[in-house]
Amino acid sequence: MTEPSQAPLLEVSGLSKVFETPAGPLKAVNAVDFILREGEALGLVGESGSGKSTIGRLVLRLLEPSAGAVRFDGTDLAALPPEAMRRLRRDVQVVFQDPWAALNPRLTIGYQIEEPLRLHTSLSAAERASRIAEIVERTRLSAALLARHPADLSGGQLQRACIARALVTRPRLLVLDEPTSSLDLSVRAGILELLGELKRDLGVATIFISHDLGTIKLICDRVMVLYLGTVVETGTTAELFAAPRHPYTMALMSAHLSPDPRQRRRRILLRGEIPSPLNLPGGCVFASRCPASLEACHAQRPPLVALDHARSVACLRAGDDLASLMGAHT
Amino acid sequence: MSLLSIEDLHVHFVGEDRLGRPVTARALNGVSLTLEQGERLGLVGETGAGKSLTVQALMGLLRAPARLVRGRALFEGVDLLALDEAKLNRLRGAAISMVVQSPKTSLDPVRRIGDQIVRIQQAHAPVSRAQAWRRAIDLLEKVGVADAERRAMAYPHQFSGGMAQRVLIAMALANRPRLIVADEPTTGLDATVQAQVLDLLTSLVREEGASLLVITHDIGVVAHYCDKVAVMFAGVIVESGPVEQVFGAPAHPYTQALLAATPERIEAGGKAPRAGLPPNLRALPEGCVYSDRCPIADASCRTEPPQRLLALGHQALCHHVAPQREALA
Ligand SMILES: Nc1ncnc2c1ncn2[C@@H]1O[C@H](COP(=O)(O)OP(=O)(O)OP(=O)(O)O)[C@@H](O)[C@H]1O
Ligand SMILES: Nc1ncnc2c1ncn2[C@@H]1O[C@H](COP(=O)(O)OP(=O)(O)OP(=O)(O)O)[C@@H](O)[C@H]1O
Ligand code: SF4
Ligand code: SF4
Ligand SMILES: [Mg+2]
Ligand SMILES: [Mg+2]
Repeated sequence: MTEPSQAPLLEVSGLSKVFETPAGPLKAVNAVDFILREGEALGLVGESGSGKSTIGRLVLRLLEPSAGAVRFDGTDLAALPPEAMRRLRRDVQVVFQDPWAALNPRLTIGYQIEEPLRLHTSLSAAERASRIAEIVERTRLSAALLARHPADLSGGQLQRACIARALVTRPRLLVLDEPTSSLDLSVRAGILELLGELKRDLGVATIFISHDLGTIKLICDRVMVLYLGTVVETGTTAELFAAPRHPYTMALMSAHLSPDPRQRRRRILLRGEIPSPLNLPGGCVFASRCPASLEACHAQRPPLVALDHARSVACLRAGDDLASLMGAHT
Repeated sequence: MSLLSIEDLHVHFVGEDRLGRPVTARALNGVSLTLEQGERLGLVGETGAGKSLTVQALMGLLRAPARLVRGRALFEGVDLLALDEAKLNRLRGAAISMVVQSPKTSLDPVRRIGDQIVRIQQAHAPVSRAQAWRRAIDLLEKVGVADAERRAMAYPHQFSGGMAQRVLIAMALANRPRLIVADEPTTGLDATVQAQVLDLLTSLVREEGASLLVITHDIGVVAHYCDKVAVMFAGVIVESGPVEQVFGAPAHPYTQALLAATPERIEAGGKAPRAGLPPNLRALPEGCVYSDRCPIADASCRTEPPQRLLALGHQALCHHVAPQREALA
């Protein structure tokens, strides 16, 4: 069932989501395409409301797409019969931002880690116990915590429990939606270290959603940058961080504050407002804040164009020397 | 004389346990810090360390069961903690102003933005409405609200989070404060919007010659927007000094752990520190408050640690200060 195939593990094409709201249709995700290979980690970054979580929920099938397809292991998820859907629940797991909300306060930690095994596999009680012992060790949760209830654990321990629960079925794809942003800096560090280790040792493919560029850089192989539900740039982490090509990516990176006060930043000062997703502009989604915008940018939406085998950018001026045009300040 | 000097501030929460016995949570345990005119000070520390409580005490906003046990907070030589409500009210929103974390909840939803900036001026000085309105427009322009004349007529719900935060900054500046206290002014804003707001806040502070006390979780904000930093743990300032020195050569074991936990340091091959449990304020250890978590604690740490001066203005509260040179190199 898990024999290696040439096809990517996950193939997303033309994915769109429109929410019907009292104020009218809200375009949360607009024609997003991407692929994810076995063992690869893809980072989703972008402003709040840019559609990162919605993409995660569409991939997990927690939301129905308005258009487009999600293919997992070569099969279109929309066409999956119930039995295959059960298998999918085992193969695709998620960790959310808030570990306090993700766990049931009345059930023990051990029970909740075992739950997906009971629901999505036919393992015997003994097999389940050995799986749990293994994952508890991996996530460095002490076995003594299993008998406790969520209220008796710290935030970091709770998030480890959520990660253990997500990994206990040995999924092939893990969606992590801001798994560390509700945690204290010192707790966060331990979780990041754990995620890096799991990726190395278990080879789970990961979609990692985060605001924090430092974290993305640490965990991901490739990055996809979103703005108002639209992919504006994708590339390998190393290349994208070394030389961002889309004006928004440049601004985002220049706004990242490194903890080293001596590190001088070339800062790009943005002005202007983010448009409402209820009323998207007809042209480039970034045009209202882009320091390099031209008349033409307001007239037509630039398509995502491949610059080379690894990098794609949605900008009319992708061919120009934008870095010097962006007005970076020191 | 320093603009602000907090001396040995102690705040406790007194309550009862399940059996009705009195219990005391020692939330602030001798906070001391100073801020000079024109200086920008960052206050950092993990959640629950007492950062917000420190400024609440300072602004006279402590409410039961919080109890001020002892300490002074001298603002231009006057002890804020000894002032009566009327005198405090005259200072708050005028000589000292505050920017809080949640802009939407600190604006009045049913009053126009412009009117809110007028009211805060009229509360402190006998200015005419027309004059106050003109200044409101000026301030909105200053904080980067385009089309200020028209936007002043809008209500808070018509503003985005970043815009609302700028309005709060405009309000904080309205009465030309000498001290601005900002409690996580950009938490929840996006990186690019956060940069817009911080640039604005610090440049306005510089123009007006005011001082800034900013509370944040974000080490990067302190590194790039502050002159000095104070690191707090369990209601104690464990280390303070110029940002370059404290971040370049952190001396207190807690500061070292805090800086080692950033993704940048882990990426550089650093080992993530053990997190440990939050301190129990009802049963703090004898001596050093950090001793339960400190990797180098020994028997001497059961006695009060001394304040060690490491360089001009750089100090750490520890028995075994060992500056970790070039921590960020
Ligand atoms: N159930 C829903 N109904 C209506 N609108 C929604 C719903 N869920 C999300 N949205 C809207 O869709 C857009 C994308 O939201 P999403 O949560 O995916 O953003 P995000 O990138 O994850 O943001 P954040 O960084 O703040 O988590 C937003 O404008 C949001 O308000
Ligand atoms: N009513 C109360 N009884 C006992 N302890 C309390 C009470 N209210 C607050 N505390 C404690 O006072 C301490 C100081 O809280 P404070 O809000 O100042 O933390 P902080 O450093 O601002 O944290 P954060 O970064 O999460 O905002 C906390 O440990 C909190 O648990
Ligand atoms: S298309 Fe135009 S507005 Fe959009 S990012 Fe490129 S230069 Fe800026
Ligand atoms: S006084 Fe002792 S326990 Fe406290 S920080 Fe220093 S070495 Fe650690
Ligand atoms: Mg989200
Ligand atoms: Mg606080």
